[in-house]
Amino acid sequence: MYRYDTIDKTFVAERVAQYRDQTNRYLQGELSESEFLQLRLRNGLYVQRLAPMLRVAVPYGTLSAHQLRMLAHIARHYDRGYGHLSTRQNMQFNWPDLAEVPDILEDLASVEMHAIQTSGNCIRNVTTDHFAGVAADEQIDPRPFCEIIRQWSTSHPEFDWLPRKFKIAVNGAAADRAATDVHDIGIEIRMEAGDPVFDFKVGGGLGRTPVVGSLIRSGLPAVHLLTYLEAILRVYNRYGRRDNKYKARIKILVRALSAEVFADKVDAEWAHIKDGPSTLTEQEIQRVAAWFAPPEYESLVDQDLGSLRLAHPEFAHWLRMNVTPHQRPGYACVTLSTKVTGIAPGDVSDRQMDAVADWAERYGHGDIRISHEQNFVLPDVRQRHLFDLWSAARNERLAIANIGTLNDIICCPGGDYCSLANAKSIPIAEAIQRRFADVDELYDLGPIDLNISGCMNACGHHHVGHIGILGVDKKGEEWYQISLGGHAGRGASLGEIVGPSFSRAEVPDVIERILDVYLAHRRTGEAFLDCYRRIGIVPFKADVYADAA
Amino acid sequence: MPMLPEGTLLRGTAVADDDWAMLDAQESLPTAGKVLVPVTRWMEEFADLTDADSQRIGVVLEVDTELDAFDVRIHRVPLIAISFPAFNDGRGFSLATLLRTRIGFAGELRAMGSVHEDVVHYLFRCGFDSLLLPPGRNIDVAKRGLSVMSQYYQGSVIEPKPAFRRVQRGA
Repeated sequence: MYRYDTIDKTFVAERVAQYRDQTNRYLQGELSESEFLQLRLRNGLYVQRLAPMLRVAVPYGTLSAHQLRMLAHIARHYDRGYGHLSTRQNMQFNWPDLAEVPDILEDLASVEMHAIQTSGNCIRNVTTDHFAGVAADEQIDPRPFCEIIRQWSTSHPEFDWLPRKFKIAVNGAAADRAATDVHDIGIEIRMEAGDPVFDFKVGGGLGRTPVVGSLIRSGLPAVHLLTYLEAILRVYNRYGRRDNKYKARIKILVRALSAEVFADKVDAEWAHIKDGPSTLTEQEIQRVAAWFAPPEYESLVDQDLGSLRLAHPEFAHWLRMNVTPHQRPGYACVTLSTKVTGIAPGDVSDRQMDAVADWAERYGHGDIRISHEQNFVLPDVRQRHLFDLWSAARNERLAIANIGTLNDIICCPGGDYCSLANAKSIPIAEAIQRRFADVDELYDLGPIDLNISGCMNACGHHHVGHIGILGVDKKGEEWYQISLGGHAGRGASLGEIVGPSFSRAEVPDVIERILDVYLAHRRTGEAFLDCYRRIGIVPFKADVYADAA
Repeated sequence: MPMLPEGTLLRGTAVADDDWAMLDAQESLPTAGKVLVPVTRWMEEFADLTDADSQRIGVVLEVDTELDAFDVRIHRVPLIAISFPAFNDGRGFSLATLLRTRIGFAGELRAMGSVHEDVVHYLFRCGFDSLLLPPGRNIDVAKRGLSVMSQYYQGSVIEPKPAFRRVQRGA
């Protein structure tokens, strides 16, 4: 993975010093609440319902064991012993003391990490495929380009004060595990005649106005990556709306102008800067790519784990659900599920973090990923160690075999933590997980993405859940609106709302009825989403509201 | 008489006397002294001036002023000020960048309005070289200017080369 050089180190150290000074001035009353707000957001500090929350950037979801141990230390020393994996592949701490944040940032800097631009109206942490570099279906490793974008977007003098937050996702595989269709900019890299080329989709996003992005440029050579991004950002920075925060995302501008006109404006801007000094050099691409060169893989063959499977049915389930093919024979990618009933999805303890760091070193090459589905991924596990890893992970409650199932719920912190939330989301997740506790039933239901957001801001990605749940406020009470048919991967779609919302107590029953409709209609081997796309919303609607009719 | 705007002027990182008074839409041009006028008035009355007066008339742009709304005559203006409605309104940063890199404006480029000491290094990197800080701002912090951050990744108005063209990376 990427390692800091003098420039990165100096930059982060100076930024910590700057923020320490800003914090001191705020605490001494020299900076007002609203002034400090803008400064602290850009350093990762967001104030929630009960306390500040520090969101640490995990660039494109990639961590070293050393870095994860530091996050464990921060959880232990400055927080309440746990952290939260976010849907932007970051880690959040819910209970830091505002005055101690500069110390936390200094600790992060010591392991080449920071919390810059994880909040505020600026370019956020660039995200990618959590299997980047190891996925069997990958055309090109997107991480070097993510790192190049990270550097370009960090403290950009012109683009740190945008109309609204700005999210970039990059994908280099056949499947789209980075949800590039629902980002402000979604970049797909593919190989063309031996060279990487870039397709740009803009104006996707969730939130109040969910939109699937529009393709505005196809086949851009790699050297133009940054100048083309600059052109997009400049058009957005100048013309994006600033009068209404709910209409300020780039998707509103793209929609107002039309994708064609927006693309023309970008092209006109790009014509001025194309081939200018920000043009990437082959040397720079190679320099960054070298950091992501494959580790020293052993020459292995695929393992036959048949007898272990037979002896340990739960291990067999785990292999089937949580283990993904690797590019190299004898290796596997393992997803460690945080979706344990009774624990908020994405919450991990300091002890679990330390354990994951140890496993990454013992069974792989010390590399850890955070997925946008809020799980840990160990990308390089030798297959002969899978059973040992599973056994160890069971002791740490990280071996639940539920990846891709209904219980692998994406969930925002919701009303338990977040001041924006209209409703709680964590108790909904738990109630659903309790209802579908039977693993045979869970596996029979097949792949289902169930996503929960506590408000319209859609941090829980409810629009792109096969089943989406949105917390809404009705006269001071928490209600839940359910949508069906969303999808974040290739061929992305936005869910359709079933109908009037439900009380919290009703939600598990409603989910069960939806799934009963699916089971009654599905063809052999037909997944929930495929079935939904075939039969449409009507049968679901009819059943769910049958009692009301 | 046109009024000097309130606040503290920094040219670079040095406190300077402000000699540019604000002329509003109605006031007539005084017989002497430097004045700043809104861009609409400048285009109507002063854009074609080439005499000595043209060198004592500066222009105030709003952050959403369209570049197409004025023409290359703005080259001759001794000072352009961009008025920030809020310190975190990013449009002024893009406008400054375009004035320097697209229009090639080489005169004094001033940030005024809601200018904050904690964004001075961004302002300088986007090509501003003077700042009118409103009353009550922390001048000592503003005077740190570019020294707050000695390293940058991207190119900018004042250093077009990004880090990878500027230095040997990796050390």
